[in-house]
Amino acid sequence: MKGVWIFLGMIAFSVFFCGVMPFVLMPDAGVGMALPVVSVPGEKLWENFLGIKGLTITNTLIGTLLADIVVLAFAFGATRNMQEVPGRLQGLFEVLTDALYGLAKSTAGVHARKIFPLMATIFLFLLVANWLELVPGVDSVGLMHCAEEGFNGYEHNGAILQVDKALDQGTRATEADYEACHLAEEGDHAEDTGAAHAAEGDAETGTAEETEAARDDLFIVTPFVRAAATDLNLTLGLGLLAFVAIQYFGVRALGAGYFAKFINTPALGNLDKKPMGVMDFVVGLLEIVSEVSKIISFAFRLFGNIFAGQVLLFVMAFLVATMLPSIFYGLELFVGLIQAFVFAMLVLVFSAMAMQKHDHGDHGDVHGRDDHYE
Amino acid sequence: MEFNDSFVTAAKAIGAGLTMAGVIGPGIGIGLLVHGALEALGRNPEASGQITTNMILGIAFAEAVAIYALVVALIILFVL
Repeated sequence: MKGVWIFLGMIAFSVFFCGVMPFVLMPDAGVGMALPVVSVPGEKLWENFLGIKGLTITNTLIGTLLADIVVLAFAFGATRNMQEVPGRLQGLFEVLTDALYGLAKSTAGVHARKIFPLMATIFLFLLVANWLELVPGVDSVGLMHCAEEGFNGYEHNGAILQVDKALDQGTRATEADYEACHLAEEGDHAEDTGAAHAAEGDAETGTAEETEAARDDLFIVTPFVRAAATDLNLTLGLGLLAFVAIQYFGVRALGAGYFAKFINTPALGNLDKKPMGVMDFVVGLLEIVSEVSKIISFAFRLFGNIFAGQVLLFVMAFLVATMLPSIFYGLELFVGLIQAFVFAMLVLVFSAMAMQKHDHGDHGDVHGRDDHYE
Repeated sequence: MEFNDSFVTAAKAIGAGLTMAGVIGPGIGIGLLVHGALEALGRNPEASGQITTNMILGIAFAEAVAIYALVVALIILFVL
C-alpha cells in the first residue's frame, strides 16, 4: 500500500513540474522560455575589441578563456603549497593524476612519461570546458540586440526578452524589421538621425514612434559565454595540435625510421625474395590518408558531441521548462566527461602507436618485416 | 519567390532528416561493441578496467561515423 502512495506521489510530482508548472503557472506569471539561437559558428560579441582592428571576441572564445582560468586556478591552488599529507584539493589532484598516469603507463609503457603531460592537460581542459556548458547563466545570459534577418526575435521587457506563453517561438525577423530596429536603437544614442533619415527618404516623423506603430522591435540574446567545444575552431585547433604532437613523438622515438611507416622503402628493398613488398608500400601510402584524417575525426567527434548536447539542452528547456531538462543535464555531464576522456585517450593511444617500433596498426602481417626495420 | 523559399526550407529539412539515417550503422556497431564487452566482463570480471577503456575507445570510433552524419545534417540546415 505504501508503494502505491509513493507511486501516486511521483506521478503527481512529475505532472506538476512537467505539466502544470511550465504550461500554466509560468505563463501566467509572465515567465517563459525563449527559443534559443542555434548558431554553428561562435557568435560575435564585440568586433574590433579595444580598438584593435580584426580582433573579434566571440562567446566561445570567452568560454575557452574561462576554462583556461579555471584549470590554471585549480592547478595553482593544488600545487602551490604541497604537503606530505595532502589537503582536499591536493588530494583530488593526486587521485586524478594518479589515475591518468596509471592509464598512460598501461597503454604506453616506457613512453608514458613523455605523453602524459599533454594527455592530462587536454583531459583537464576539455573536462572543464565541456562542463562549463552546464553552469547556469552560460548560454542564457548575454547581450541583447536586434534580431537579424531569419532569426526568431522577441519583444523585450527591460533587460529580458518578453515571453509570456509556453512554446512561444517568437516572430521571424525580416530584413525590414532589422533595419527598423537598428534605426530605433541608433535613434536612442544619436540626435541627428532625423537628418540622416530625411536623406534616406524616410518619413520625417521620429523613428521610434514610427517603428512602434508598424511592428514591435524584435530582439535576440547573444550569450556572453558558450561552451568552448561548440566552436569548430577550438576542436580543429586541438586536433591539429594532437596530430603534430603525435608526429613529434613518433620522430622523437624512432628518428627518420618513423616515416618508413608511410613511405615504406624498406619493403621495396628485396622484391625478388618478397614480391608482396609492393603491397606493403601501397598500404604505407594509405597510412598517410588515415593519419591526416585523424585531424578531422578528432575535430568533428568533439564538436559534434558537445554541439549536439547543447542543442539538446536548448530544445528540451524550450519544450518543457522544468524538471525534464535536469535529466538531460545528467546525460550531458556524462557526455562531457566521456568526450574529454576519449580525446585524451586517443592522443595517448595514437602517440603510443607512433612510438612503438613493431606495431603496424590493425593488419596483423608482421613476419618478415621486423628484420627490415632493425 | 515565396513558394521557392518554403520549398528550399522543406528540402533542407527532408535532407537533414535523411542524413541522420547514417546513425543506423554506428548504432548497430555500438550495440555489438557493448555486447562483446559485457560478455568479456562476464567471463573475466578482473579485467573490467581494461575492457571498459577499450570499449569506450571503440565506441568513440564507431560514434565518429554518426557524428559525421550529424555534421552533414547541421551543414545542410545552417550553412547551405
